[in-house]
Amino acid sequence: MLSRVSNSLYWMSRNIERAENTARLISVRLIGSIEHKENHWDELVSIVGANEDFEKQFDRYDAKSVMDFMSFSSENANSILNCVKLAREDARAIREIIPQELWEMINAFYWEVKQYKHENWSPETIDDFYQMIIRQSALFQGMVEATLSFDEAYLFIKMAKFIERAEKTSRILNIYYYRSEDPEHNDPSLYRHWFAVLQSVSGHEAYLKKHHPFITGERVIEFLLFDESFPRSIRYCVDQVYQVFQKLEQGKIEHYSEELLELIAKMRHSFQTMTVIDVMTDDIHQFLQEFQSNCFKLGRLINKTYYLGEVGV
Amino acid sequence: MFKTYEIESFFDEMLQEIGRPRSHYQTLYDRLSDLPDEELKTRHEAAQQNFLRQGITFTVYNDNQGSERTIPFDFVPNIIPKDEWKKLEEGLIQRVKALNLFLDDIYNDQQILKDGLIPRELVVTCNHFYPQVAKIKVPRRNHIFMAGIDLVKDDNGEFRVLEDNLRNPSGLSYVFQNRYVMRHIFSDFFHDYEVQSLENQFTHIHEALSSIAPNGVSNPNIVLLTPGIYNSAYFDHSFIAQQLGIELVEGRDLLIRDRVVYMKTTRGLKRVDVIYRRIDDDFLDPLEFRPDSMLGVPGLIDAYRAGNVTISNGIGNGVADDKAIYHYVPNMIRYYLGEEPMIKNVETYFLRDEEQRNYVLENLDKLVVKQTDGSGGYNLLIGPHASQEERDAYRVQIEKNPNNYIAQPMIKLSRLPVFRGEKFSGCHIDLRAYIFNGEKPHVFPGGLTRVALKEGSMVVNSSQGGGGKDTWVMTE
Repeated sequence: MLSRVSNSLYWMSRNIERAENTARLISVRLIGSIEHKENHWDELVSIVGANEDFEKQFDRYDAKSVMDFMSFSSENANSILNCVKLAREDARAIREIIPQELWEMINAFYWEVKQYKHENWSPETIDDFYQMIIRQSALFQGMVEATLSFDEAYLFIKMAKFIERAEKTSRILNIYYYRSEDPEHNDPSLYRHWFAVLQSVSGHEAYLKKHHPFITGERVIEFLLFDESFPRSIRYCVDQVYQVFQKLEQGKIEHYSEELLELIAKMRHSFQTMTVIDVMTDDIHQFLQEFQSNCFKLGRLINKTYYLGEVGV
Repeated sequence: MFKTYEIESFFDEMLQEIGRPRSHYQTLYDRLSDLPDEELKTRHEAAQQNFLRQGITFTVYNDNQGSERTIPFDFVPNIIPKDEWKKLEEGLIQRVKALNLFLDDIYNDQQILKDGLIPRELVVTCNHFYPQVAKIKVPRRNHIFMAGIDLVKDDNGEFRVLEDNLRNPSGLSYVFQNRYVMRHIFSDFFHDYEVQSLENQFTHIHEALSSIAPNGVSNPNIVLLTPGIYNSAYFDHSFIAQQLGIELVEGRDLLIRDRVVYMKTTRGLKRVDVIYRRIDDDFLDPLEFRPDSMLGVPGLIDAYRAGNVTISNGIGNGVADDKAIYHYVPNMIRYYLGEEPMIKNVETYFLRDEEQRNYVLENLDKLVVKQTDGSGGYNLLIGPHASQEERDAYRVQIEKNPNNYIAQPMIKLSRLPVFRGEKFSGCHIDLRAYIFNGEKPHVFPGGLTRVALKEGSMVVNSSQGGGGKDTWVMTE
């Protein structure tokens, strides 16, 4: 497959996943803020790492500014609108590779986002918009599973999705963990806090099935880091990435892929051998930051191994 | 619906006179007359939406918003009876054969110039004549893998060639999409008609491309080279590549090593044998043509010269579809094939010739004047519809550079009904026919019917607000 095509598949997939994660993050915060006057909207901007860009455009982190910035701003490379637009451009560049139905779905998705009258949105109505994003992303995932041959194209889409997901879960945990350390928290507000963290990755229901309504920081962290079957836990995502590469390389290790496979194996290993106690007695922030820097390295090695991006031959 | 329809003085494809359709339109005419307006309207709108949803759009240039538009679609098909099509097919094959021989001659011995059939100056000063590719051995001496010949019908209902497109004729994807939408939304219109299907056409196209692979390559790696997603014909490129099952590549996906072309894949380099290019000559290779071009591949022409890759359509084909050369095509047919042309040209005046120039300048209000290297319907003068000021301004341009222009009598293009929401009215059409040249030439059944949707307009070009119709070649 052409490297440019793989690159487009990769970014199409990451951007759809990114738009969905952002939508869910805001949607959860929106509901929290209605009942409890939760503020701290700045956290959302920190999770997507865009404080600098935000501050260029707005002078305070209020609900409206943050939602506007994260949903529609053209100054924000990772706004939902931009993510969907980029995903559509990548899809268009490879529409001869992906099934027509999938292209039509992404194209319609783009028009729906673009035509949303974002000048007139209100906190009462905008949640419909985020729910739409989440639904369309699910539709995308479903179509990929149902219409694409399980070949290289599929593997690149899958790999990108799980890398994006793992990274986002770790960023959410990292920022929200700071908040949980806030001495102002009382028990009910901590409970609410961790419940919202679970919701931000759609994990509250899966968590409740496993642990019943006993929510503690330690258990939530364990769940989001180490659960073997929850599709947004980091361990699950890393396992999936590992399996994708096994398939992509047909279980072999060639000289060109050696470095890449070593890194993934190392990342996977740490999740298999460590426990939540280890992570919490050491420094959880450091652990998560190291994971994020590994994700960054992973991206670079993928580029290098498969000649993606502007990497020449 | 047809009560207010007017034929006026034009050849109408559907109606001999009001209320009396031609026999091959009778069934459709009856059906259209029976359907309630509201239903036609709903279905008409559903068709336009379908194009948008499928993303079959073209980018509007000179618009920094990057606007996208769909080409408006009209559901009254252009129906061509079997016998009429058969004759047309033969004429098209004849024409493309002669044009190919002309190209081969021009870039090799130039016998036709030596024999004085065409003024040498006209060829060698043509902007699209490239001495860089002279004497290159082209596989099968095939310069035209794909030709798009634009045809019109005059007021006697006779087909004439309006223009030859031998560089990068576009629009084939729209032919398929028009049929697709037609079948989905107007499936009942097909009842009682036997129409040639289009599905198997890509087999012919693929075979034609394989047949021109460099010597000795039996299972060639064929790619389609596109300028990328911002090109107005990108949909065309992507659709054709998908249907042929070949890679769609951009210049940056290719590189040359030791005069061989490779594409960059996730597993390293893969050799390329045939390039169906949709990039204009000037942009193909910055080392040979425009040095500022980012679209092409440095060293591509050198690999071509070495015989390691086929580039199709051939480089420098523009010399044969130049509007001034057009005048000589009937002579080429006689010269190379010893046959009489089966499809006529439209009469053409040369402005380089003083006598003809004077005639044209005196009769600007009756003629259509075109730039010889223009395309896309830009910078035309349609004399009868232009104002005195427009004609005067054009006159100045002509006098400055007469070589650059040709003139043709205003042809009364035939018309077909178009649905306008509450009624049908007659609009001018033309037909782009596609010819593929492999081991044997093959004419695509039908082609792209374009329609001038602006009331009274003769310009069918999509960049000028033209639309499309489905084209049916009857099998019975």
